[in-house]
Amino acid sequence: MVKLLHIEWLKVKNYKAFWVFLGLYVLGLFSVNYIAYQFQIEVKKNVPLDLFPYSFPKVYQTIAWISSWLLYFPGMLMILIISNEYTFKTHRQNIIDGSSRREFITGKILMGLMLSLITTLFVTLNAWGFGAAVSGKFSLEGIEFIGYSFVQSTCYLFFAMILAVLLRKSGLAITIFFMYGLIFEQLIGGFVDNKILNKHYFFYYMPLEVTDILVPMPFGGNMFFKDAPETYVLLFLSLLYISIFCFFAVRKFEKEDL
Amino acid sequence: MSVPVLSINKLIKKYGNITALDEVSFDVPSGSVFGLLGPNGSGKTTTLGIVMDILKQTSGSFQFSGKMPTADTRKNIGTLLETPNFYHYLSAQKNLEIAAAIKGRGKNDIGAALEKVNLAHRKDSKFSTYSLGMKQRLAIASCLLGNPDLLVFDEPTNGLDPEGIAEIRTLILRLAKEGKTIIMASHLLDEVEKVCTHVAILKKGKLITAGAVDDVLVNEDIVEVSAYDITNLESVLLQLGGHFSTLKQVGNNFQLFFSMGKANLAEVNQHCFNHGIVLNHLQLKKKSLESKFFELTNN
Repeated sequence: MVKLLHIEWLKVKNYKAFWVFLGLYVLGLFSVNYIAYQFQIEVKKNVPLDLFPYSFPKVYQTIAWISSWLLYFPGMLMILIISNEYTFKTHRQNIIDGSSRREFITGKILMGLMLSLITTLFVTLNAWGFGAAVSGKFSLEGIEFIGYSFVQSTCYLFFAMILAVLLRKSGLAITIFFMYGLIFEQLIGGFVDNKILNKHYFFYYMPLEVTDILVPMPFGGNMFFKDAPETYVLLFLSLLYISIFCFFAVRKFEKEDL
Repeated sequence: MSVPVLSINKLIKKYGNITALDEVSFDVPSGSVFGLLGPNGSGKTTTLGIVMDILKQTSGSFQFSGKMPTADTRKNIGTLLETPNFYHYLSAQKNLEIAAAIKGRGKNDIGAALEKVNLAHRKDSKFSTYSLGMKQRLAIASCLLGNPDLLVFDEPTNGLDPEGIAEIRTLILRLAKEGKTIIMASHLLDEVEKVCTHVAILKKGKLITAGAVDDVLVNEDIVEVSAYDITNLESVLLQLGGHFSTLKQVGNNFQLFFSMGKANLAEVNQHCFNHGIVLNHLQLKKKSLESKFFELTNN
């Protein structure tokens, strides 16, 4: 495990584009929360409405939800580090040099987990920073949303991984990642629920949506998702999807010509 | 006889309806420089790709030194397959550090490997800034990491200038002298002739022949003669005795095929003169390996 991570580290250590991208993402995480925070202050001036509460305990959910919109960026990084291997044919060279196929793809899965941990770390730091600044105290109440946020980012990253492994080309994989996550999941889910089932049933169980409901919007979540499944069901399904993405990525990489 | 370094057994690879490899079997003897020869698309790279586990065979098997292959087997083989594959954004040094890490080795022999292929002075330049020849040399340096006993080179002189080609040839011969086994795929006969001890010839996925170079690609001396009295010339030539293997008429000339180094022009000339024929054309031609190769692959 450590050896596989070390090899992945050597690949990204001097990869300038990777660090610039990651830096911008981290900066973006703070910025987008800062914008929401300022927006909340403006709203409060006019109406007593807590759209984006940045005080403990709600701050964990607020930041987890706001940050989830940026998950496409670590997802793009994930696609980039995998499709780079295909572009440079280094996935072949790694095998030729003596990696087993499983070791190679496991290295990528570990990288996905690392990116997810980094994402979660910065979400947590933002939550603590904003929470402490706004509340003038520190609290761990509501921190379960950080855990949900980790599950959510892992699911997004592994979804990006399976797209990269299946499609090999970064442009195509990134386009489909965005289009599916932002448009088609809603479209397909909405169509099935409204036109076929006539109730909210299918949409909640779709791969990205199931993790999105784990971290619902801090305002009106109960109204929008009132018939959503229980948290433990959502967690179980999220982990199931994560496992499925990993399973098929490993299978595809182990069985086919590289 | 010692166990072959690589033994390939009835390898078949199909892409849909296309059979890229059709029951190919051969053994690579230890210490040999083994040429895998064939025109483009004959299955050379496919064979090596399967052996290196980047392609999956449809059926058939292969063993390294009598053992079933594992990832660890590949750690002790230096392989250049098809094109030099490196991370474009990393320097030569950093790229070789990754290869060394995968092979489970330290960085110690990276400097020496770069030195051997004359890239030491550019070791900190990004791979993307390299010329094709430099990329190829870096790939060869990568093969040399850990001083493996088996080296696999797929078209090693691809993209190199004549000087580079000569350098690689010298390097291969030096490695062979050190007792290493080298498998080299090439469509250049000249290359195979100059460095290989053994050869397997592939054509359209089928193995045409395999064995020691001297057995497979027998070279012959051809003596071409002509005279005004062409009808008598033939009978006189036939009286020359068992020195030559074949007599062939090509236009107004006759060709006598001798095994290599056995043709004696003076003797032929004297014989004809003694029998009343004055030659107006007498020439020694070396049969090119190329024509032999075409002969083998065109049947």
